[in-house]
Amino acid sequence: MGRGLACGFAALALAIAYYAAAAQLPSSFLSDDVGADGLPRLLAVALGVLGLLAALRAVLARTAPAGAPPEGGGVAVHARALGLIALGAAYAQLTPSLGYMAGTIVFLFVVAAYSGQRPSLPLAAISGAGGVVLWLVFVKLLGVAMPSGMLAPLLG
Amino acid sequence: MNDLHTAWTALTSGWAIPGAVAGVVWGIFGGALPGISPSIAMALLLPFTYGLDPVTAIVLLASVYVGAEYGGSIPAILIRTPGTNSAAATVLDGFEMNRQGRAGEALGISLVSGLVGGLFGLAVLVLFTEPLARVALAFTPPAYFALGMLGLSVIASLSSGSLVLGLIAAVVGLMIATVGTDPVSGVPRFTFGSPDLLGGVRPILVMVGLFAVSELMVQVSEPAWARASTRDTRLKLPDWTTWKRMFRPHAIGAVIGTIEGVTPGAGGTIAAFMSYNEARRWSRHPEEFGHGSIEGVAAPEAANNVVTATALVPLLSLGIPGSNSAAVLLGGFLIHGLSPGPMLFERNADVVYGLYGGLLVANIAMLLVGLVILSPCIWLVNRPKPYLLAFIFALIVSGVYSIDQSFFDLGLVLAAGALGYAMRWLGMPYLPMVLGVVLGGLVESNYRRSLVLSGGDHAIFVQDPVALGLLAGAVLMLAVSLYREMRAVAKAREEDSER
Repeated sequence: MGRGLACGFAALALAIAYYAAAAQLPSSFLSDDVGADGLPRLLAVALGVLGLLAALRAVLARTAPAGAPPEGGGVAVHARALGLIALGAAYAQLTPSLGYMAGTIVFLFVVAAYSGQRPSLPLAAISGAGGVVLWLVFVKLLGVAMPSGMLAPLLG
Repeated sequence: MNDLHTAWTALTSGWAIPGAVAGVVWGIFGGALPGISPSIAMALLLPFTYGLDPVTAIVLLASVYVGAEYGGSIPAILIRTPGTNSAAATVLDGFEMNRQGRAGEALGISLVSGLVGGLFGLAVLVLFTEPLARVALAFTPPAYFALGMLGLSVIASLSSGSLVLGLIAAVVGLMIATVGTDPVSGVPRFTFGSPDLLGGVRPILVMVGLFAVSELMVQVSEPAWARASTRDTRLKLPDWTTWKRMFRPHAIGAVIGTIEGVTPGAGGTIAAFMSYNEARRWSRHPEEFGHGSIEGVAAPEAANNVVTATALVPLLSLGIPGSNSAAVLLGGFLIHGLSPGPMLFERNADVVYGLYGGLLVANIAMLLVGLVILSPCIWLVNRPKPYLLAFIFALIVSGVYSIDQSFFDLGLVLAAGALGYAMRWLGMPYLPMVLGVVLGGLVESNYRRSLVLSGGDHAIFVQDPVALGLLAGAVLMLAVSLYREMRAVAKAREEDSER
């Protein structure tokens, strides 16, 4: 299946799901004539029509969509890219318990290693220094209430 | 002459000049951090203004605004992460120039364009506050709706030659904008029971995900990624030839920035996108846009820096804060017992003229600070790539978390990043989606408010002269873009058949 066709079908599927969700929106006695579901329904129909159009165009042209050249690569390349998202998600999960400073030090080390840097003492030192600098900037300078986690007794 | 004397006395009698410089430094720092918006950077300093004299306090806060709006362009150019909403348009050509080893040139253009825009905006603020305040008052809900439609009409020309995909992206952006509490009835929409979504999805989260996270994903998947680049790391200010090329985009940015700035609620983001689009339309080299165009950096940067001054027009003259940043500045005025509005010019002329003088100092300080910090910034982003990627990602997650101390927001950014990666793979343009997210709320809420006002009669949109003019402009822009798209398709077909 070509990318244009995939895009068209994805838009169509999203349009159907969004329309279904819009149809279930509760009504309110405060509502106006258009209603909370007015624009969503219109958008769903518009997306559906555009999805069909994109699919039809892809079938007729039998070529990839115009515009910016899409990046190529196989499943392994995409999996590697998505791995970065997984690291971000892991950071979000672990930081509340690890604390911002410790979580960020680990995060810097793991992401740099994942990006091709050989795990080493200098990498650990730079990650450690980076975590402390970011903690100083966000917590001490900007006053953001970052999670203290397990280091809470030490950091006050 | 008397006014100049008042401004000079107000500036020099306290700590206003050091306040302006400190405000700009803080603003650039805050604006360059993803997630720290100009208003947050200003709000962080608000408690410190209690002990300052009124002129110094107001100048300090206004200078943070100036610095932050400029600062947003630095990560936009260097790491494809718009530090502020209004820097999103700068990403397009700024980051492309960086990719071509022209980061110093791009930063030089954004710096001087910011200065030109800031000084022009200041001149407008000083000379035309009173007449422009009337323009702000002329904006009714139908006019705001029409303004939003005018913004959306640039989608066709931002679709990079793929109109259907651009429209799909725009509709998805509008869908994202519908998430949250319904603006009229208060019904929660598409929140799926999550209280985190009741306030909607912040545009900056979508932008950071689409632009920055997706770029990191692409970079980490490239095999040659780990090599450090050896590019020129010096800041390069524009030469005379470049200045000549920037004249037109600066003029476009100045006009659009003035109009958008004095319109409460419009803001620098719409101004930047519209200026980018108009600069491309009127350029002698439209083909360079999206591929590292000088004009593509100059126009949005000039526009969003004009807005830093012109956004103060409705605040000073009418007491209406047209943006979050203006609202924080209003807080600064109120802390010191000052009430912005027509009487401010009568009762507290020293504060007003001190503010004008302070903004002048702030713009000059912005240039000087930029000259000092930008070369080290370029050097910093030319460090070995794995370190760079790790620090950029850590900066993004920290900045995003700091907005609302919410890991849910971080999840949204990661999801937007994955979406952006998929859009790249599909060859789908980002900008229409960004415009949809930014303008969706403005368009829907004002469309519905207008109909409530008119009792459901759509004629209200053509009876309001401002709305009619803006809608006519939107139709014209759409027609021109469609005509160009069709002509380009026909030309491509002709070339294919000749082969």
